Amino acid sequence: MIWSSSTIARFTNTGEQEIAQMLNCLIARYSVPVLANTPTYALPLDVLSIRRVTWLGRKKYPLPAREYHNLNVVQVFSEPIFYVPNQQGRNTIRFHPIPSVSIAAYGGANINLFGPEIPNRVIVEYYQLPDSITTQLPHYIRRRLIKYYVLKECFAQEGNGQNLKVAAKMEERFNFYMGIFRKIHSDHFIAEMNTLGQGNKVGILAPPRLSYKFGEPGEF
Amino acid sequence: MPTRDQIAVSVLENLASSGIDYYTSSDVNEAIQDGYDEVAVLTGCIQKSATINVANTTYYDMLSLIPDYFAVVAAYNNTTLRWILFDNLKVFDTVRIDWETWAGMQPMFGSVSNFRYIALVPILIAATGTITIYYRATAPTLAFSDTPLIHIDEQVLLEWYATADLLDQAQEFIKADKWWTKYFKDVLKYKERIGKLAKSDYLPVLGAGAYNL
Repeated sequence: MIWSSSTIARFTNTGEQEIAQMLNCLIARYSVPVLANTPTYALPLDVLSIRRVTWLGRKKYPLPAREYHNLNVVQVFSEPIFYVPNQQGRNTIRFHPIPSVSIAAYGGANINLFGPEIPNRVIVEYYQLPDSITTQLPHYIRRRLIKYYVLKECFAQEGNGQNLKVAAKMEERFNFYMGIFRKIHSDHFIAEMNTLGQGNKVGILAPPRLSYKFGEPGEF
Repeated sequence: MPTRDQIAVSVLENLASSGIDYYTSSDVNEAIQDGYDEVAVLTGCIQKSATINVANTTYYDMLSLIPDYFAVVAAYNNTTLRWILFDNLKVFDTVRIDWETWAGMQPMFGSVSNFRYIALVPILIAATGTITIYYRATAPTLAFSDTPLIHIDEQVLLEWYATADLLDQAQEFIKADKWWTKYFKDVLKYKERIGKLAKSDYLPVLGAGAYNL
């Protein structure tokens, strides 16, 4: 064997993380253990970027640190309206106004923060960094994309198997497949796209067109 | 219609490897399966439906509910006899800040959250009823005598993909590029064809954006 299985596993993991950074596709949720009078909270280490924050089901809005300081910050205690991302290091958020109540985090074996717990918790939804074991890239593209990433890295590595021409070709294939991945993503998962009005929505999802008599007795 | 093994024979003929042990049968079969997986998601040629139960939840984990789920096309509420209206999550946010907890009725609106989750609101806390999901499916695993769920005139795509992939494996990149070009040119045409199936038979409608696939 030219490359050990641990080398291949290492490249698989870095490839998976690099691809997830290039195209945010994995989401996860974290229940924040809120303490009264405490503004700042650490987030999990696998947070790539925050996608959504809800307080007992109500959306909170991101506030850049510069604008936060423009508020001429006075210590107000109530239900937060805003959150300030990354204010004290990479993976933290600060709530503003400062929370006046404590809200327990939701843990347990079957953590499902996508369902009935939403009205009871403070939830941060975030784009997640995969670990290649429990969290992986979408199954429909993972195998082919990771294959080219691992090959380009293996052939570029110093040692017996080094072949820079092959590495360059594999990089070309990898970049091409990243393009395909982006295309599939934008064709099918329109929820992440900003749209101005309704007219410029793209992708295969569109409201079905129904008969003008649809729903009347005898009509289907 | 060619079975997986018949496609494998054609691939080995393209590679002048029939009867030679240069490529193992698992190499060839895996390349054909990779091609099948790719054609299915790139073109959306496998469309199915499944019925799920309405639950006391905002987001439905579609991959758990429907193992071969790839992307939703439409959803129909069998209790209200209405189609679910899909929109963007950001549009929901502009309508009400607590839409995730909107409860009390059968689901009427939906949004795709990512490749795994879709959101359906309102939530029915005492959940009853079912929703039929029309979805694009991932490719099933091909056994030796299976025929791919691809139009008969386009099944050659798998042969081209596998030939290109195996030439890459042998580091014959110039030869592989010829097959890749052939494959990608045709797979994109096939994708367009899938989107336009029966288009000529639709009634003309004002604002026909829904059919701009």
